Amino acid sequence: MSSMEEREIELLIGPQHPASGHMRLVAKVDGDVVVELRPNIGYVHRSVEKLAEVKKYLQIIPLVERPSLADTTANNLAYVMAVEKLLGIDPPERAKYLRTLLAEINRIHSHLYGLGIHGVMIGSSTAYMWCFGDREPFLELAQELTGARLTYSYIIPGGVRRDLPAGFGERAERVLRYMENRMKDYFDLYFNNPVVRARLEGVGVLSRDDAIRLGVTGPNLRASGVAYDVRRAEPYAAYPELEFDVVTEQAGDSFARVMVRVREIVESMRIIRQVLRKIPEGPILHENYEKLIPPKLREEMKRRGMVKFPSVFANLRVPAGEAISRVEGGRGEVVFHIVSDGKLSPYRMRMVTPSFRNVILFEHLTRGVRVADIPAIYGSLDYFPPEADR
Amino acid sequence: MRIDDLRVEIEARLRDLGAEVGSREPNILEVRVGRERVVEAAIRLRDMGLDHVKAVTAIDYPNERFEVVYVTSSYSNPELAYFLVNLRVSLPYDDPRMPSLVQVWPSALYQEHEEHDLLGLEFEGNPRMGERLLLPDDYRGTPPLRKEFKLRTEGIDA
Repeated sequence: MSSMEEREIELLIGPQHPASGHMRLVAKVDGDVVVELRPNIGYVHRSVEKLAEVKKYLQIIPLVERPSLADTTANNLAYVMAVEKLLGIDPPERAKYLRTLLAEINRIHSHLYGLGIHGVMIGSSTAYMWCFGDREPFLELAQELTGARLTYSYIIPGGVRRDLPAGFGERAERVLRYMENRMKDYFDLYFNNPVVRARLEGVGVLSRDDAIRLGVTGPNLRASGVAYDVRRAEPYAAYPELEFDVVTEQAGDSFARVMVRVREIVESMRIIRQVLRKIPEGPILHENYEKLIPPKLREEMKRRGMVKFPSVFANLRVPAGEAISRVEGGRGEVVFHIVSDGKLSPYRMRMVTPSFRNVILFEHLTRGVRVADIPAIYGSLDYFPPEADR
Repeated sequence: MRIDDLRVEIEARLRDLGAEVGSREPNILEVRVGRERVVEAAIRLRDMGLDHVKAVTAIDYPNERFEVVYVTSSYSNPELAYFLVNLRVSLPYDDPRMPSLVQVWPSALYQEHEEHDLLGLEFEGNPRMGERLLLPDDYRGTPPLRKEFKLRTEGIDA
């Protein structure tokens, strides 16, 4: 062995590292400099793709939500959009706005989740507690809309499950005003804090070219100056009718990645306000399915604003064919590729989550950094382990 | 850009490789090519601005063939970002190997690795071949995403 090889040792980081979940990083280090790092993405929710082959189309909705607990709407929506493409139906306008509303509420709490975890990774437990505390009002809004706290299963083929509750707009406005005032505190405590900036600025720099080459997605891509957002590239739901900016930063470092998320929270709040102002009246379920509901139940559904699943949904048959859908989730692009042979379950379902696409960054960004920088980079990627192993 | 223009351009670029180009949905193009020409086809697609892979899907049609689909698109060219170009390769069932496209699209690294792990496909040139990604290191037996691997189910299915 050469003297160089003798100096290198293998260092296992995780899976018990705070906030890393079951991710294990296998690092080769020379002193405290990382020579090479290989992520080992572990096992939690495996076999979503295989299970989908034996579940009916409707049963798959809660299945695809599970891997991404902080951002379940994106998976729910992307999956249903692929099924709708195969069915050849388009949801009513009101349902599109409601989907957008939930997706944006979800984006905010996904970002706050990511920022909180990032805080604890670099030693700011106050940031962690603030972010997790401030997620709560958004979770409550989502709960009021859908009846569930995290895994909503709100979006169904042809529409959504519930209408907007009475007085939702005023309550949402109160939450948004609270968050706007709160932003200033975050900057005072955290983002303008010299210690935080010293740990993040210039650390884990991802160039624009590398971000494109490696197929990075979401805020991590936009932090390197690429203005790609599925909501603009292939608009879906109510996004074509709403105004918002695609947030980008140029530096590509850990701080830029965090800042993109913070600025996206502001954009999401802007979208939520527009949705509540512009949402049209009308049905929330496609007429083809609505008319399958017995008249008495249909009346009650309209009165209460809640959809009782038409029983025919249990055996929803989807025409043979292939569909690919993409959605901009909190952490980036979610892609579903469904191959149907006309039976009750998909023949093949491929689910590609943003965290899985961003795994490649662990080895790319950590080459040559100090061991102490690993948590700062890790946290800035907003990586969610169960999303990668699915 | 209209999808027909893109289709014509891809057809012109890949004609000598024997590629078949078809369209599906308003923004999806299907490019079918033989496995011996797939690297060259990928290079030409990349050079026209399709700079990353969004998904690698492999489908098992038992005793017939595997079909590998690279879903590609563009980050650097906003006009192309709306389109998805699927590069499709059929692999014989008894010899499911093809050249890896990682040298062309590094973004395919983990996705090819996953299909290798769960479907038993070989991507020659992918540095992760022979390693496990999601399955236990000592796993032996049928790759779980193959159709011959039957999931055990339990409980009542109404």
